[in-house]
Amino acid sequence: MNHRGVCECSRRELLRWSWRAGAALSFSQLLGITALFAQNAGKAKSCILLWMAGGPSQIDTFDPKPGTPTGGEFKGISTTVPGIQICEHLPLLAKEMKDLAILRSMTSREGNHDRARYYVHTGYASAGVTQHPSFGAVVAKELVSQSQTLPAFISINGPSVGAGLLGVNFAPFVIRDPDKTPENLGRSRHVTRERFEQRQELLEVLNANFDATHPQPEFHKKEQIYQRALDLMNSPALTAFDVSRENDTIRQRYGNTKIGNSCLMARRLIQNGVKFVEVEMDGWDTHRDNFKTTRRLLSELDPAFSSLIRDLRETGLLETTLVIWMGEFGRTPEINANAGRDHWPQAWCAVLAGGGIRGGQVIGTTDSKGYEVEQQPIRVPDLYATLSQCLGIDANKAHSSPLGRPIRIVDHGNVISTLLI
Amino acid sequence: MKRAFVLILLVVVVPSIQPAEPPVAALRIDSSYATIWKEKGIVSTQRSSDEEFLRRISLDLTGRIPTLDQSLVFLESKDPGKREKLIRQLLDSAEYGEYFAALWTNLILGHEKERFVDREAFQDWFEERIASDTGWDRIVSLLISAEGSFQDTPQLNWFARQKLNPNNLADDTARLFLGIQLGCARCHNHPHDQWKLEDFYGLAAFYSGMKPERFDPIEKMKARELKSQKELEEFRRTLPLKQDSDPNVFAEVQGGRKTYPAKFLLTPQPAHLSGESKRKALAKWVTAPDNPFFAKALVNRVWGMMMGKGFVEPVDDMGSLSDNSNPELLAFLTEDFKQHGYSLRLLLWAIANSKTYQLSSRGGTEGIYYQCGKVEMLNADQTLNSFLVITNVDEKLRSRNRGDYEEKRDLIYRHHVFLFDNDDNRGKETEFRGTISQALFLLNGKMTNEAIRPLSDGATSIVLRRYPDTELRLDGLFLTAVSRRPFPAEKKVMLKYVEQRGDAAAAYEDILWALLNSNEFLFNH
Repeated sequence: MNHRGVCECSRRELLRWSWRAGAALSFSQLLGITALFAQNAGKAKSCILLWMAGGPSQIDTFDPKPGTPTGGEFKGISTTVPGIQICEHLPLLAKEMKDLAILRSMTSREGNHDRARYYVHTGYASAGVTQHPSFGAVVAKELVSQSQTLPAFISINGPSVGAGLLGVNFAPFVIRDPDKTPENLGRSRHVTRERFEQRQELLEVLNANFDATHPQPEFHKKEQIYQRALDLMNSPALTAFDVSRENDTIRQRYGNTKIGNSCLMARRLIQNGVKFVEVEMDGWDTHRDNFKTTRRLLSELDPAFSSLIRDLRETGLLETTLVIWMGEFGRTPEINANAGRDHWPQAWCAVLAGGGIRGGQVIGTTDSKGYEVEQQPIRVPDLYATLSQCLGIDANKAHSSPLGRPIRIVDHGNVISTLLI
Repeated sequence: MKRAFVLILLVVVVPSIQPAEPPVAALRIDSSYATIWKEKGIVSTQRSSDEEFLRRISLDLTGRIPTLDQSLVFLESKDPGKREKLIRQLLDSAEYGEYFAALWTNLILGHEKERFVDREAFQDWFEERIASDTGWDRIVSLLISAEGSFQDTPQLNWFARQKLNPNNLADDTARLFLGIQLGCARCHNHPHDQWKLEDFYGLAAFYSGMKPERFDPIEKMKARELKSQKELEEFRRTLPLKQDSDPNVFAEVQGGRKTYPAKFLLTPQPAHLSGESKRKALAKWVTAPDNPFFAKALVNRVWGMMMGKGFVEPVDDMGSLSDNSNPELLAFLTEDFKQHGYSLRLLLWAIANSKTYQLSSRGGTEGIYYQCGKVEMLNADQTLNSFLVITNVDEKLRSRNRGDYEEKRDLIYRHHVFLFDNDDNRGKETEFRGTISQALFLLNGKMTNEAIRPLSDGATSIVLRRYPDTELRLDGLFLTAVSRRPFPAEKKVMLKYVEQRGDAAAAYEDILWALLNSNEFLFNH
C-alpha cells in the first residue's frame, strides 16, 4: 500500500540509502523517516483553479516576446523577481511574483476547444465511453472535507468538467453568478421559515408511509441527499457565498468585476473549508482583435488574481492553498489577418502559487518567437503529478471505469521537483 | 407542420395490434420466470395495484405521469381488460413517439446541445419513424447509410456530432446498435474479450473518408471576406457529404502507423465491397437477420428500459464475459422480434402485457430474476414532462401553438438538463443519481414553484376549482401527483393541516410541494 503522496519507488530508494549509509536503523526510526518524507508532501489542503476559457495567449500574458515579429502590441515589464518579465498589463501581479511559479513550457496536442478542455481538466484524452473525472472531483474525493455542509467541489461561472466515473456525488456544485445568492439555496421568497418547516413535516409523513412498504435502498439514499441539501440551506457557512459581506475596500481591490467577485468568493469558500474551487473566466478565444480584447481581460484579471494571492498570504492561507491559473491551450505566435491569434497547444503557460509551490521562478522556456518549447517540456499529466504531490494525493491510485479497467488519477506523469518547496 | 405530418402518418400507417389475448411473448416471459422462481425458491411480489400499474406504464411508454383525468378514467373503469387497452392507447399516443425519440436522441447525440448539430431535426425524424413503427432494422439502416447534407438529411446529425470521425462512429455503432464495447481495441487488443485492433479499425474503415463536397474553409473565408463563424457553419451544413471508396482506414496505434481494411466483426478476411458504398454494405451486415448482435442488443436494451435492468448489463457491453441472467428468454424474444419485422412497438406491447412486468414493487427486493417490480429514479425527460403535466403547461400550450410549446420545452430542458444529466450517458443504474443541486432545485426551484402555485392554471387551481369539498380536493391532489387517493393515515394528517389553515389555497400548495418532493413522486416504482 502506498503511503500518502510517497510513491513506492521513493520509499524503496530511501531504504536503500539507509542501508548503504551503514546505519542500522530501527523500525521506528525508519517509520520516522518515511513520515518526515510524507510530511513534505501534502502541504496543500485546498485548491483554487482559475480557468481561462478559450485559451489565453501565452505571449500576451506570462511569456512576453517583445521586439519580435510575433511579440505583438504588448511590452514586457519587470517583476519583483529580477530577470523575470511578464506582460505590461499585469502590473499588480508583477508585484506578487515572489509567490508565483510560471510554467512556460506547457505542451499538448489538442487544439479543439472541447477536447482540450476535457484533456486539461482530467489529464486524459477523451476517448470512447470512459468519462474521466475532473481534477476537482478527484480532490473532492481524496481530501477529507473540513466543512460539514458546504460541497467539497464548487465551480463558479462554469459547469467545469464533471466527476465522470467517480460518480455524481463528486460533481461540482455550480454557481452561475457570483453577484447573486446561488440558485435555490434559499427558501422561495414567499415561504417563511415556519412554513418551510411545516412543508418538511408533510414530506416526512409521505416518505415514512411510502418507505414502510418500499424497503429498497435507493429511497434511503435519496433522503440522505435531501438531508444534505437541507443542511446546506440552514448552514451558517452559507454566508461564504455572499461577497457583499466583504467591506468595500476589499471588493474594490479585487476590482468589483465578475472575475474579481468570483476570486473573492473563492477565497471565502476556501476559508470555510471547501476543498476545490474552480473559477471560470471566459473570453480568451481571441481569433479577432486579440490585443483589444486581451487588454480588457487583463485589466480585470490583474487586480483579481493579485488580490487573491495577497489575501491568501495575509490571512495565512497561502501555504495550504494551491492556486492554479491556466486555460485549455495557448495562442498562435503568428498574428492573423484579423489582428487575432488562433489556437496553439504546442506551447502555452500555466501559473502556480501556494500550497507547497516554490514561487519566484520560471520553469521551462520557449524559443525566441514563442513557437515551440525549448527547455523542459511539461505535459498535463506532469502538472497533475506535481499538484497531486502538493495535495498529498496518490497519483497512481486507480478507480474502476464502467468497463472495469483501472484508471489512475494521473496518467503516468513526472513530478517536477523544482516546483516544490 | 411536421406535427401534422406525423398525425396523418399515425392514422394511415400504424399496424393495428390485434386485441384481447395476451401476446405469445408475454406468456413465454411469465412461464420462464414461473419456472425459475420455483427452481430457486424465490417468492415474487403480488400483482401491482391499478394505481401502481397506471403510473409505471405511463412513465415507461410516454415518459410522463398520467393526468388527473386519465387517472380517474382508468381507476374507475370496471373493464377487466383495461390494462391491455391502456397499453395500446399509450402506444398509439403522440407522447410515445416523442418520448422514445427523445431517449434515442439522448443516446445517439448525447445530452448537450452542440453548435453544429440540429438536435430537433434529428429527434423529429426519429419520432416519425417510431410513431409509424418503422422496423428497427430499417431505422438503423437509414442512420448508417444516410446520404445528403447535414441540412437536408436529419440522420446525418449523428455524423455531425461525431465530426465525421470514423473511430467515434465505429465506437457508437458497436455500442449503440450491437451492444459491444470495442473501446479498448482502439489502442490494443482487448485484454480479456475477443476483440482486436483489426476488429475496431475494420469497423471504422466503413466510415472513413467522409467529408463535405468542395470543403475548403480558408478559401471560402477569403472569398467571402468577413464571413462570420456562424455563417460559415451554416454554409457547411448545406454541402452534401461525400465518401471515398477507399476500403482502408489509417490508424496510429501503439506508437506505429498502420492501415486496416474494412472488415465485418467475426470474419477474419476483409469485407468484399462489390462496388456498393461502404456504409450501405455495413448497414446491410448490421441489420441482416443472421447478425448475432443487432436484434439481441435492442431487445436487451428495451427489456432493460422496461424491467429496470437488462438480461445482460451493461446493455452496451454484452461481450463474452458478461453474465446473461436468462439466455433462453432473451433468445426467444430476439427471434420473436425479428419475426415481427423488428417492431419496437410490438416488443414493448409484449413486455408490458406480461405478469412479470406488472408485479408490484411493494415489499420486495429486486433481483436478476425480476421477482419484484423495478424501482428507479425518474430520468430527466420523465421529471420534466411530469412537472409539465402538473403545471398543465403541456395541455395548454400543445393545443395552442406547437412551435411555441417546443421552444418553451426546449428552454426548460436546456436550462435544467445538466442538473439531471448522468455523467456517463449510458442509461440506467439502480442507484439514486441525485446531487445536492438537484435536491435544491426540487425543494426551492422555479419549476416546483410554478407547478404548485394556486393562482395559475396548474394542478392546485384545477383541483380547487373543480372540487368544493376538502376531502375531494385532497383526492384530486394525490391523484394528480402520484396517481392514487391518499391512505387513511395520510388523509387524516392532510385534513388536519388544511383545516388548521382555514382551507386556504396555501395549504394545498404546501401539500402538493411535499408530494412533488416525495420518494413516491421522484421514482418510477
